[in-house]
Amino acid sequence: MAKNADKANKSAKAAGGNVGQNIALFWVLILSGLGIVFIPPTMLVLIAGMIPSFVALLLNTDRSGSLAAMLAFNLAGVIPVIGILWERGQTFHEAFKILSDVYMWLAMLGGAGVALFLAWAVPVIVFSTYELQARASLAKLNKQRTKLVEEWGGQFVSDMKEVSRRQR
Amino acid sequence: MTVAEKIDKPTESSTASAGPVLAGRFRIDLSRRLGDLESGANMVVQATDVQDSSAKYFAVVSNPYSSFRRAMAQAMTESHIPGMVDLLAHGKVQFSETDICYVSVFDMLRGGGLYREGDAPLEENTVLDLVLPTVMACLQNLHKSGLTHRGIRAGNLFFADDSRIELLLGEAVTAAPGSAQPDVYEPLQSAMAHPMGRGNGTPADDIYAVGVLMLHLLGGRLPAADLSADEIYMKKLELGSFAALTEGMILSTRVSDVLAGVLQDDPKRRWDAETLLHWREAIGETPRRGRGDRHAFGKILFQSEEYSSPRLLAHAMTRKPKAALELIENGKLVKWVKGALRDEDAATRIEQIQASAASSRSDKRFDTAAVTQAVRLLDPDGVFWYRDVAFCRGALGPLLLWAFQNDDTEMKKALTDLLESSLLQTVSIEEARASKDRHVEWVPESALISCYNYMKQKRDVGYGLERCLYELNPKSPCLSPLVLGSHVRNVSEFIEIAEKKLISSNGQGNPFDRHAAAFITSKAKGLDKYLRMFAANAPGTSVHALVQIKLFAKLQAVAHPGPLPGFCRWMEETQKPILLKIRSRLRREVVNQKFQEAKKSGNLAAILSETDIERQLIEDTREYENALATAGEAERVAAYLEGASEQRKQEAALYGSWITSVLAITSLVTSMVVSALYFLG
Repeated sequence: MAKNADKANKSAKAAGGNVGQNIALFWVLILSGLGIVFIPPTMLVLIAGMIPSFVALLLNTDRSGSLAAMLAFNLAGVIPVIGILWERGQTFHEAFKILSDVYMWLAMLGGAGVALFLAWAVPVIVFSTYELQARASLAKLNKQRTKLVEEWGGQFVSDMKEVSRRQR
Repeated sequence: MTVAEKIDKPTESSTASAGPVLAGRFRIDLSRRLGDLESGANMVVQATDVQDSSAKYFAVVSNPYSSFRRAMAQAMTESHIPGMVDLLAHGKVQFSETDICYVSVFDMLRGGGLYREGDAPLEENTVLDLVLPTVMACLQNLHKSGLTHRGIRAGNLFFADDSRIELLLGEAVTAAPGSAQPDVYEPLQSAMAHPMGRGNGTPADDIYAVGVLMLHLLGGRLPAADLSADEIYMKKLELGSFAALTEGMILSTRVSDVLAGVLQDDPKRRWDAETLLHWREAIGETPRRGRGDRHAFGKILFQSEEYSSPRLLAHAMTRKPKAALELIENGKLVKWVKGALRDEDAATRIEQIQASAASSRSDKRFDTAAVTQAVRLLDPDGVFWYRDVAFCRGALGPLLLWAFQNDDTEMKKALTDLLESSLLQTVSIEEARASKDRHVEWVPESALISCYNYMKQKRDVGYGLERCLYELNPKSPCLSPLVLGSHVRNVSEFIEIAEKKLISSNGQGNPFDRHAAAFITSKAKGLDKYLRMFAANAPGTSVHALVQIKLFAKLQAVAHPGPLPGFCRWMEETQKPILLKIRSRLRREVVNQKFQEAKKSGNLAAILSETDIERQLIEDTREYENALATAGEAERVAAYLEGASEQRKQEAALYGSWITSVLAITSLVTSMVVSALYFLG
């Protein structure tokens, strides 16, 4: 019964997520369409700069957090480049000039790189911290156990085993 | 070697230093043993007077298991009894710190014994004019005081002086009454009793012994010496004592007449001391000779033999109890008693016994009781018989002492069975109703009831046969191995001696063995709650040990308030299993430290209060359970932590992506804000 309920919850959540994604995609497409019509050089730089995010989106790694981080970091790297484009007059000439500048690419793809690095490194760091915490707790428990055995003698060990056996 | 141990050693002379002094006057010299005066388990040694070096005495050093006849000793010390050796002093004598004996000092019998086995017969005149007046003077005096001698025999007559003129009857104070008498000296009423179970008897028993003594001295040999006790008894019953014992002897008419008077088997017809003292007048009317037991009008067949005498039949029944039970059950005995013996009352009682025996066939003890009751009805004046033991009514105490002295397992078993059945009470009540004299003879009914109750818990310490021993022998010293040979008579002395023994053995020893427990509980009141606790907890358990310590703490407070370092050492040993019950090492150390501190006071109660061991045990148990719970929880958490690595990984991934997302959003917002400020501003 409980399993069935969990499955139902998951499918409900998935359905909810899909709806949200679809709405977001809808607005992205609308805005992209409008952008291509009204600000084509900007859209060119944006689409070129956001390639790592599109790749991540296409790979569909089922890691929505990472994808969001990738999008955000990537966008964070692209926005200053678009600012430069707009400062230079927002023309295709300037757009291609920017796209031919390696530093511009470094700025745009650097954000995606940072995202990739953080998506890999932060969980590893957090896991290491968790492990250290667990080992410290285990050491503390062992010390406590040794103290108890030292205080209560050998019989305590066998009694403890008996208690553990009963608990199981 | 203690004095008690020396008593068991053969006579040997040694040159020991001067011994201890009794009553500030009599020096007991253990190195000078007087074997000629010894009889029974006691040791006889020479004693000297510290005030008069020429005076000589002999001292009887009592064996711890010996009965001491206090009433007689009191009469002897209060006044001189003519014709009997003088008891000058009696009391405890300390030979060493823990070697204490009960010693009785008598005037030395310088002239030696009147007669030794193998000596030539004495002249009739010597017997009638020297022996008889001497013995009778003594008996007349004793009997007037309601006492009996119970030691009149050829070997117990001595000359008081070197010139062998003054004859005296030897002592009969330091052993159970009649215990040293040869079987032939005992009248039919006590003849079949165990030597230690002959009892104080009656004056008539002394008179009977005088008759046998005369025969012994005149004949120059112990009468019926070639017969066993059983044969003597049966012969006396068949022919009468006079005829049985004088058979084949040539006696003058006057001696025959005197013997006929004193060897009467019926105590009521037997001469008394007064008549015997004036025998010359008494033989004027020729005394009737006894003819043995009464004869029934018909005979009864028992074990291929025909009996017409009820006492002979009773005796035969005691020798073959199984056959006797059959005789009761098949109704032949009832028929014979009713038809041939014409004793309606006895027949009715046997009929009742027969009915009861038929209803409880499987109970062996009941079968024995049935035979005992039947035997008693056939021979109401005889000894009380039960399985392997036979004793006179009031002599159960000395018999128990003997059983313990010799560690006679069979006798102990028989006495255990007897005391835990209500047979003794039933018989004593029945006999007391029938005759007032019998009531006096019996062990007090209250003592029998107490013993019956003690035997109900015979397995528990403080009860059982040992408790009965001290109940029936209230003056007996404690026979615990720890204090044996120190003549301990009360709890205070027990504590004192046990303390010395425990000091010398560094606390090793058991001051609460079965004997000690029975002795202490019989002497001190208010120990029932401790006994209940002993009964509820098996020996060797910590609770049992703790109760022992508490008991001795109470006894110390009541009977011996001084410090007891020996008992403290014993307590330390006894407490070891209790301390082991404390599981906390730290607590154990604390309690031990407290004990060592409190031990210096030598006060058991103070140690108990200081260490508060019971509370410590409770606390310890509680804390142990808490520790177990804590350890269990820790174990559970550790197991969880060890097995949750994968879960931690998942959690780390989730948390990591959350952190990455937060950083991403933050950097996006920052990028937008900074770009807006830079490019638009």
